[in-house]
Amino acid sequence: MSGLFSTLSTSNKGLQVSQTALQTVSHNVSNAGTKGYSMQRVQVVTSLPLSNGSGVGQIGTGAEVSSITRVRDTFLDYQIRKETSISSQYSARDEFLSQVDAIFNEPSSTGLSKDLSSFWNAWSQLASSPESTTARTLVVSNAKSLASTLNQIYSQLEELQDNAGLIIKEDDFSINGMLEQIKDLNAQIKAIYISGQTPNDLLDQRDLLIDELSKNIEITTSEGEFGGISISARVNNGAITLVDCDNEKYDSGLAYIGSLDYYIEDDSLSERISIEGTNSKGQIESIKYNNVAMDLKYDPSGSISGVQIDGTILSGNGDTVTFSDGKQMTVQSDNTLVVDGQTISVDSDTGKIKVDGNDVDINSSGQLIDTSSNKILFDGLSFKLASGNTFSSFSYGDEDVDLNNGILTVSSNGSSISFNGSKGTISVGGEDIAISALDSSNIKATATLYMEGNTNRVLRIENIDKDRWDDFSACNVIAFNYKEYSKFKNGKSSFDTTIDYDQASSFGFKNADFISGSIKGYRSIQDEIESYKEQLNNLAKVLAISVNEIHSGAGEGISFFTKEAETSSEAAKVISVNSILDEDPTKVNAGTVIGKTSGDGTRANLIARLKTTKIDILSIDSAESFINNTGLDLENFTIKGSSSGTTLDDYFNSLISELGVSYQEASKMVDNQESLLTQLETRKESISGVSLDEEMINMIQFQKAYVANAKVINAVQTLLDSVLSLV
Amino acid sequence: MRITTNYMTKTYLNDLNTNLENMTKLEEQLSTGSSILSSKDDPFKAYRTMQLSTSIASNDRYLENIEDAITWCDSTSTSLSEMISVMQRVRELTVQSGDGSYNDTQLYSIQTEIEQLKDELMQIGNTEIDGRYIFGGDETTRTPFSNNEGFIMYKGSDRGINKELAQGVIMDIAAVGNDFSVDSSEEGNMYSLFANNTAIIKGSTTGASGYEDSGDLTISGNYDISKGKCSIHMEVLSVSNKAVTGVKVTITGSDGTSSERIISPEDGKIDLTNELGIKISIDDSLNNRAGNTYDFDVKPSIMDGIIGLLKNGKSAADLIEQVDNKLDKLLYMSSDCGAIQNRLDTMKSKNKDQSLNLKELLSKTSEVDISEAYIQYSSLKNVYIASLKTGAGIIQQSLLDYLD
Repeated sequence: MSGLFSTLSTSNKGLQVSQTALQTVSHNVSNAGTKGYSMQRVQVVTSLPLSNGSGVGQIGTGAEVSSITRVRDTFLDYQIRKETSISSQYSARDEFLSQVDAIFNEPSSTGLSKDLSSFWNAWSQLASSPESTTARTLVVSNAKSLASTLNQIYSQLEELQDNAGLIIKEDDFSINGMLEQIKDLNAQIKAIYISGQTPNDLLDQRDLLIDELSKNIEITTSEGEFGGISISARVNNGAITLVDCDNEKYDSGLAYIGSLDYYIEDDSLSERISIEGTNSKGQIESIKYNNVAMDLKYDPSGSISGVQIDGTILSGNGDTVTFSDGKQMTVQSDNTLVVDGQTISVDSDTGKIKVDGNDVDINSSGQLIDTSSNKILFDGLSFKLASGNTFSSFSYGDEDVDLNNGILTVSSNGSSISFNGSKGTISVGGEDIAISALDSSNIKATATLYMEGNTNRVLRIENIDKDRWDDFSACNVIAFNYKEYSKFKNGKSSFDTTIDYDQASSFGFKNADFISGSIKGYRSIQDEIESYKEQLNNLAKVLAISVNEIHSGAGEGISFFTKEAETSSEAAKVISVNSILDEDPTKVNAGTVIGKTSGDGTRANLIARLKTTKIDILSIDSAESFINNTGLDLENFTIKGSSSGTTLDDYFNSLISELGVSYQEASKMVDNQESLLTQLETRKESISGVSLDEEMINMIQFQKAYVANAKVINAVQTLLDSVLSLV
Repeated sequence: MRITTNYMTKTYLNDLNTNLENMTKLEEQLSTGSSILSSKDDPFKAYRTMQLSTSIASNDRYLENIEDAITWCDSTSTSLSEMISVMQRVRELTVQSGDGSYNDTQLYSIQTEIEQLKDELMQIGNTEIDGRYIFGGDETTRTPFSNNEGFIMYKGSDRGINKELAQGVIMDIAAVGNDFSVDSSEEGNMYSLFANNTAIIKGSTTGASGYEDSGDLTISGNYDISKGKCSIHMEVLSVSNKAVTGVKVTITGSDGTSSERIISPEDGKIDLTNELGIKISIDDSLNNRAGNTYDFDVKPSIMDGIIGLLKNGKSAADLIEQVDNKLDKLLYMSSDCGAIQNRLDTMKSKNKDQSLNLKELLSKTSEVDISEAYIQYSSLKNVYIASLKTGAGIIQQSLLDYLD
């Protein structure tokens, strides 16, 4: 049999339950608009009943709050995060592709296709009025506009690529920040769980951070002890653990590697040799020694075919020098020189110099003079003879070239660099350097840069995000950069000459090839822009090669576009109209005979016909390959064209439709993902969201319960009063 | 399904945004008139649009070429008709000269008229449009015919003018002066109409070839028509200061006999007055070198022949056949020119048809159907207004409004 006090205590519990419920209603209402908040519910259970000795059974003792829980569907969280990653990957692509689309601005009346068509039409017009100066000026001005559009598009694309890099860098930074916060929250949550409570609001905060994180990278989560959560990034060949909730010391993050700098440190050399960057094929493009930069040239098979030093190119079997103005000099085995198609030889008995077999004079500055016309042959070229009347050294302009047993040495600004063409080696300051290309296709950094005969060599990579680096104990640094997949830094100071991927990963390096997320989007954009740049380069290169070949009559006259565009790996960036023609458009060749202006527009017509000529653009890397591919015949001024290629116009049009397809896909994916996400989020809202109407009803319910409990207390009080009045 | 407050606003905002997006897209299409604003709208259509725009531009370019060619041919045709009427007059006069009753005065007046007609022929031969000589072949910038003290030379070229009038269609539209005046091609016909051809001399020189590189030839004087056709071969023996100082001349007559002489030019002229009545000069040139050779033919011209006969008080009637030959040639060239004109007219209308077709195709590919788009726009606008009203109605309401 329970007493009145027992009833009072039951009502008191009732009051407390109602109060807690009202407090939760008020918490829910306050957070109705808070991001990431999930509705909380008070779980009420009946308290333990009293056993009654009188045989009527157990007597209830009221209600009590067992827990306050979040209403949340974790599977929905998983779905939302996964789709968010995909959605933001495509948003990133969509955002950048819209900029790429704006740069190309096609189809329009101002884009590159318009410039290209005006360029061909200008040639056609010149072919129709070959004696006209105006038509020539039009050809030059249209070509200038075409070249500058190419230059402009190219540099804008480059800028965009860099911007994507910057965004990745910023994203890395914010990801690292979020990972820190998640780690902190893990610690707090664990502490509260251990004390037996549920930190609903902290859980909400952590979930929100994980939601945010899934925008940047696709992640998987797994629950650990006491409410902790471990987070891994999903990458192509597995996963990279970012947060390990069961190991507090585990520290990992992302580092952005903007550029890598290799150099040889060698006590025996006073100067450092550094590698200055690589091209898209992962080949080392340039080496700097003593502040003199050498650019390396590769043949299609990937071996080094030449070295360019200050504009002078050493190539072939160590016997050909191409000077900065394009003039070529070849040293032949019979100790004769071939310069510009003319043979220079020395009579070994008399030491007299002959050009094409005719005697010539040498003036005091070492220039060759034609005896009959008193004209200087090969202006700027001079040379010395060695004993035995063989050529020993040459100079052309400011550059000195030495020849010694087939090894050419160029001296410039006090540094000398030699190239042994037959061995394919380069030597700097008397030491041979061997270089092999980086091979990015199988992610093996096989860059070996070494000095023959020296063992003390170090390859160091610098310019990494160092501050972050030092914070990591168990390093999981992830390298991002579209060109830098295969390059890694070791954790501490330096490592040996050759590193490969396996070794690098043992230092804690992983190449972050994420499955999805905005970083994946930006990285794919960098690659895609690279491919557009590549296509523009191909276009510009073939344009320059084809127009130059016809305009110059296979090198007889001046070239139309600068020669640089024919060989440069960034043809679209460097292409421009030959400055001679820019200054004097009347020098444009239109007729069969070079340098003659008449009513003959055969040459201009042939150039205009390039417009409809099919070319296997990818197979063209020189005038020779162009002739082979298209059957260009400069004797009869005909061009057959390739049976399988495309026209230059079509090549560009395909680029645009490729861009269109990719942009369309990104846009559609953004739309699809958005509607999918909206659906998921509204579902989440439907489950975890706060409904004000519902809360009001709850409020009324608990308010009434509170009042009812109070009434019971009131009743008990009356009862007690009447009992006490008996006393 | 549980509907919460945020659920409703989220869904509502989302739908409203979709409405606006659709409207913006249509609004852009309506205001630009183009349905392909970016390559993503329809990559294939964008590709077609670019291709078509390029085709239209080059078709327009071809039209200009055709019109240019038409002007050229019109002018050629007029000049050829003028030449024909001049030649008909020459024929009449030549026939008249055969009338035995004509006295010397009458013959003299015929002679002077023919001399005038010779000049007139030369003038017609030098007709130009826009500073371009129409009878010089592809040498449009230099006067094709020049009279050097009586000797008329053709300095044009033997190549015609090729114009690209449609893709892959290259047509020679020129009537070359070489064809009617010189007749180097007609074997057996010894006479040229009124000019001799020296421009097309093929000189073989060391390191250089043709008039282009070596000194230019000029012939002056009155060619002795009794010599018939002579072939001249010259070899440069010495050069001083760019000028030719010694030359070996070999003259081969029409009968095959040849004579050879070494001459030192005086005042730059190689004097062959005694042999042929002419003087030859080689211009100063950097490329004048010992060993350069020149080969060319000199022929009597019909006009000079007629004038010469009349000068001597003889009838020129023997030359009527020659005159007729030339007249035939001119008539042939004139009808050829007419054929080209016809073809050009056809090409022009074909080009215009093509242009129209291409433009229609472009319009179908990339232009927006205004009426359809506008109807769509109006219906979207209605949907938008309806959604605004509904939103305003539902979202404001809550249980709170009814609680005291």
